[in-house]
Amino acid sequence: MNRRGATRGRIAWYRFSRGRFQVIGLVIVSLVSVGALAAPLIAPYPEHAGRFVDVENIYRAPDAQHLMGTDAVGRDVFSRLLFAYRSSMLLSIVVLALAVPVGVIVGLCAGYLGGWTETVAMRITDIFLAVPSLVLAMAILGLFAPSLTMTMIAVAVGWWPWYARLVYNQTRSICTEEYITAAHVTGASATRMMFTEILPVTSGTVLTKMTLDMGFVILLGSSLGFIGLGAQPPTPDLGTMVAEGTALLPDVWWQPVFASLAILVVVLGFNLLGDGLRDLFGVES
Amino acid sequence: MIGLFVLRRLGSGFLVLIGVSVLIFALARVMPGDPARLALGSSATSEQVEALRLQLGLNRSIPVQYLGFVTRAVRGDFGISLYSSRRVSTDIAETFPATLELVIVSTLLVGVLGVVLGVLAAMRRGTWTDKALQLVAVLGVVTPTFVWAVLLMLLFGFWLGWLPIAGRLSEWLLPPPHVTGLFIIDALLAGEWMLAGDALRHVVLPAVALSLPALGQTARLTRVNMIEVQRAPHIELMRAFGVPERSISFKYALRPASIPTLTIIGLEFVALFGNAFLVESVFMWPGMARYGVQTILNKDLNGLMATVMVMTILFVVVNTVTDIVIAYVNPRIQGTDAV
Repeated sequence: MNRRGATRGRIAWYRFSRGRFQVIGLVIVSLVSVGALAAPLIAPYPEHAGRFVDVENIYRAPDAQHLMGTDAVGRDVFSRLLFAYRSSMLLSIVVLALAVPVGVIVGLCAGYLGGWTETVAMRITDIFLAVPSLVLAMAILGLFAPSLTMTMIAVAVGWWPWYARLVYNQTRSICTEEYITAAHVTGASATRMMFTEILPVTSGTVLTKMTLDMGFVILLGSSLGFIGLGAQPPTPDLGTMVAEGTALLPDVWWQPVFASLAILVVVLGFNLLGDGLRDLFGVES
Repeated sequence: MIGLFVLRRLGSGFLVLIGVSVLIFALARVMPGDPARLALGSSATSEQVEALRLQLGLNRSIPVQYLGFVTRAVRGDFGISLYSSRRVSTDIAETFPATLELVIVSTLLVGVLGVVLGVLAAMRRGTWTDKALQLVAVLGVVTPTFVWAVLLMLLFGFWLGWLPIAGRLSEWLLPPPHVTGLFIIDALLAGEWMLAGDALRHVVLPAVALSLPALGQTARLTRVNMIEVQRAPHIELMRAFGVPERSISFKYALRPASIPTLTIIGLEFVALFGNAFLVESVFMWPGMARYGVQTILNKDLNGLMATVMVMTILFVVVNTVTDIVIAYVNPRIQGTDAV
C-alpha cells in the first residue's frame, strides 16, 4: 500500500515535472516562500522593515549595497520587499483558511441537500458575487480601521462565494453518478455522503483554485494597499510601496518598479503552479 | 417558455438587489462609532449629535431604519455626501456617465479583442504565435491593474507623449451638449468630430489598462473552448467538405465556443467596474469609481452606500440581459436552473 502510494507520487511528480512552466512556477513559489519565511535572517537590513530613518541615504539608486535602491527615508527597498512578502503570504493563507471551508461547506450542502437549503444558500452566494471583491473589501476597510487583520476578514468575506459556486456545481454533477446512487442504496448518511463520497472528488478542483487564488489574494491585497487601505506605515506593503513611488516617476523608478515586479512575480508563480496542478488533476478550466 | 425564463431571471435579480441593500445597510450599522458623531466631527456638542440622530432616525429600530433607507433609495435619495457636502444623487449623476463610458469601451475591448486573440491562438495552436499570445494573456492576468495603469501612463503619456494621461477631455475644450453623458457619443450626436476624437484619445489609456486583465482571461477561455469545439463532429465534417479553416473558425466554431465567454461577460463587467476604482484614481478620470474611493477614504457613509448600490443595480441589469441573450443563443439552457 505504502509502496503503491510512493509510486503514484513518483508518477505524479514525473508528469508534473515534464511541464516547464509549472516547474518555473514551483521554483518561484518556493523562493518567495523561503524569502518571506526567512526575511529577518536574509534581509540585508532587517531593521529597515519598521520605523527607521537614514537621511544620508534617501533615494539611492540601486547599487551593490542596496540591490533595489532606497526609499524616501533611506530604507532598503529589497529588505522591505522581503518583509512585504511576509504579510502578503500571511494574508493569502489566512483568507483562504477562512474562505475555503465556508465556501466548500455551503456549496456541498446546497448541492447535495437541494430544496430550501439550496435556494437560500445559492441566493446568498449570488448576493455576495454581485459586489466585486475589491469593492466589498474596500467598503469594509473604509468603514472599519484598516489593519492586516481587518484586511484578512474583509477579503475573506468576498472570497468564499467563489468556492461555494464551484463546489455546488461539482456536487450537482457528481450526484448523478452511479456510485452515489449505490452509496444511497447502502443507506449512507447525508454527512457520510457529503464528506466521504463527494468531497474527495472535488478536492482536485478546490486545490487548483486555491493555488491560483494564493496569487490573486496577494493581487487584491496589493490593490487595497495601492488605494491607501493596506497595512499601515511603517509596515511594508507591496501595493503601498508602488503607490508611494508613483509620484516620483520617472526619475526615482526603483521602488515602484521593483515593488510592481515583486507582485507580478509571485502572482505569476502561483498562476503557473495552479495551471500545472489543473493538468495534473485533469480539472477542466 | 422564454417568457417564463425572463420572469424568473428578473425575480432572482430583484432578490440580489434586496440582498445587497441588506448587506450594505448591515455593514454600515455594525461599523464602530456613531454615524451622527462621525458626520459632525469631534467638535460637535452632544446635543447637536443627539439632534442629528433624531433627524437621521437613528433612534428608531433597525428594521424601520432599513425600510426608510430602501424607500428613500428607490426615489434616488441617498442623503448628503460628507465628502462633497452635496446631494449624493447629484454626485452620482455627474460621475456615473464617465465610469460607464470607460467600462463600456473596456468591455468592447475585452469582448472583441479577447475573442479574436483567442480564436487566433486556437487556429495556430502550438506555434510561436500561440505561445506568444498565451504569454501575453498570462501577463495580463497576473499583473495588477494599477501597475498596467502606471506603465501605460509612463510609456505612452510621458515618454512617447502620444496620448493624454488625465481627465476625459483636453482642458481647452467644453463638453458636448448633455444627451447620454458619454462624451464620445454625445460629441458624435452633436456632429463635433474633433471633440469625439479628443474624448476617444483620453479614454484609450485608462480603458486599455482596465481591460488587460480581463482580456487575457477571455482570450484564454476562448482559446480552450475553440480547441474543444474544433474536435466536434460537425466541424470535422466542414473540414472534410473543404470549407476554409478561417471561415470554420470564425463562422461555425465561434458560436458554440463563445457561449462560455458570454456567460462570464456579466461577471467580467462587474469586475471591470470594481477595477475602475484603481484605474480612475491613476488617470484622474472624474468617474463614480474615483468618487467611491474618495467616499471610502473620507468615511462618507451615504456616498459609499450609494456607489455600491448603483454598481449592484448595473450588475443585475447586465447579468439579466446576458442570461436572456444566452438563452436565445443556446435555447437548451432555458430548461435548466444552471447559471
